[in-house]
Amino acid sequence: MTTQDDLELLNAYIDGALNDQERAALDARLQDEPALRREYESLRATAELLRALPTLRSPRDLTLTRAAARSARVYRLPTAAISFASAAASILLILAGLTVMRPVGETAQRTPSDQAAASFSEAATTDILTDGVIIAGLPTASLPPTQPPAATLFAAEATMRLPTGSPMPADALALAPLPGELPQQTAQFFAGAAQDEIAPTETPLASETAGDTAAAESGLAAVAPAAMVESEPGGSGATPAEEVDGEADILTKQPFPEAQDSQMNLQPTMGMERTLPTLAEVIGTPTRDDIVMEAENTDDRSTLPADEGRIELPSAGEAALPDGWILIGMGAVLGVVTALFTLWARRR
Amino acid sequence: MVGKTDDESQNIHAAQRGDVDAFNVLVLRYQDAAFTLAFRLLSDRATAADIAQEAMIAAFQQLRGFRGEHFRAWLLRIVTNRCYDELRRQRRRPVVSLSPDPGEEDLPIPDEALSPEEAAQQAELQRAIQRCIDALNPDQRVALVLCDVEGLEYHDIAQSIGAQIGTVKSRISRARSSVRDCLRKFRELLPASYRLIIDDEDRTS
Repeated sequence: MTTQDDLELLNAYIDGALNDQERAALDARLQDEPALRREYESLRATAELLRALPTLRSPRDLTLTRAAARSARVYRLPTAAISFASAAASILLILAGLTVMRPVGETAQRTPSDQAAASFSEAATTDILTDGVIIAGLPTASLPPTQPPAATLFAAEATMRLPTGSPMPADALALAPLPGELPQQTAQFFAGAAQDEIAPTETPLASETAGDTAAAESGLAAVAPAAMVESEPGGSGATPAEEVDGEADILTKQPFPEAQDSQMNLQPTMGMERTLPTLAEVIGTPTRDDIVMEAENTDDRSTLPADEGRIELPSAGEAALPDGWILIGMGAVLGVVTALFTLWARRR
Repeated sequence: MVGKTDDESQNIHAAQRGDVDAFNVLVLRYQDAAFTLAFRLLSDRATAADIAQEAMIAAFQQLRGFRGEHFRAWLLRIVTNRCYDELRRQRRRPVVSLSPDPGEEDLPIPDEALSPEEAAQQAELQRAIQRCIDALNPDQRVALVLCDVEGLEYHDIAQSIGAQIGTVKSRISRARSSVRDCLRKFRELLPASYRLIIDDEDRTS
């Protein structure tokens, strides 16, 4: 029985593809093994029959005309290169979209304390704008209703600080009471705003902060004037716009009468920063950094209910969310187009 | 031989610069080989002519990438690749021939030295061999035709079809054994010497 290896050896022998050593070894075997010899003879005869097949004459002249040669030289679409580049662009778009969207996922997994820290860092990016609110007290009031970013951000800051350092607001605010220049009505008004901000967190400290000391109420008001723009003052019959105007009047008349000229400015200019003292400098109100440091030194924030960390903030990731989906969508569409183009090119 | 090679090199260089006449000299030299290879692989005269023509156009397009190899082997590689594409296409969309006996048209031009009877017998044998080749799978068919019909060495075949030499050996061995077994069905058409070998093998097995 001839094995497949023997058959390959015999056919290689017929085709002259064996080296001298292999050929000598096979010659010896062919002398000794009649069955192998018969196999060799039949394969050799078959090869001879195949090699005897005549070369056929082409039924037509295959020479190229000049027109055919010109068309053969015509620029051909580099389909492979186009497909590769398009696929690479598609992948890059999808990766870019995923990269842009990543901050959203990170925000969703933050702990309440992480969110508070993130809130503070986010607030730091808007220092100039919010400082403008504090310093002049009027840009916030003069903001158009459809564009309240400074007020919204500052309200968020205040909301974050109050619950995260549970005992902090009362203590920290008590450190720097207003010296009494603000009317009592304004202090109550601020207290209402503070209640509005603290009440959703349902901490015992909230009512304590709002109800116990006028100094604390005044201090809170000094920290969070912008929060009032967003929150509805309890018991007040005025519209939010009127309240904002009133707030602006109060703050601008008392410490910074000269700032009235710049009421239309949304942000303080460099000149204003140089000429106008900050509210904290004038009335001794703790600065934002003071409150942040106080909040960071307070351990009680870890005892807060988990719900208190859930604050709607317009983070950078959320702002970029639509862009991420657009990039991924563009990448997906480009990928489909690439696949269709490649299929078309292959069929062509 | 040397003169032919020099002449071929000059024509190749001229064709690479866009000289169509020089390229057509090469076409006339190798068009029968190209057509024969296509016919042995596809077993259809018209399709083989079309494929050979396409291969010539492709060769003219790709000639600038030709770097001093054997032009015949290079050209037959293009024909082989075109035939592979055609076989794949036929596998996707099988073609039913309207001709009652397609083999009848595929006869080569009769040899003037043979008598009409001998020529007819020769043609019958060639059709039988072609049917046995057609029965092979495409990979074995290409390897066997390139080896036995076109006379390429294992190394050139491996290069043409992009396979290892061991794979080529194996395909040729299986293909040749299959054709041998297939030809037993056409015993009356085979040469007397071949019949003796088969009879001897049958007696001892």
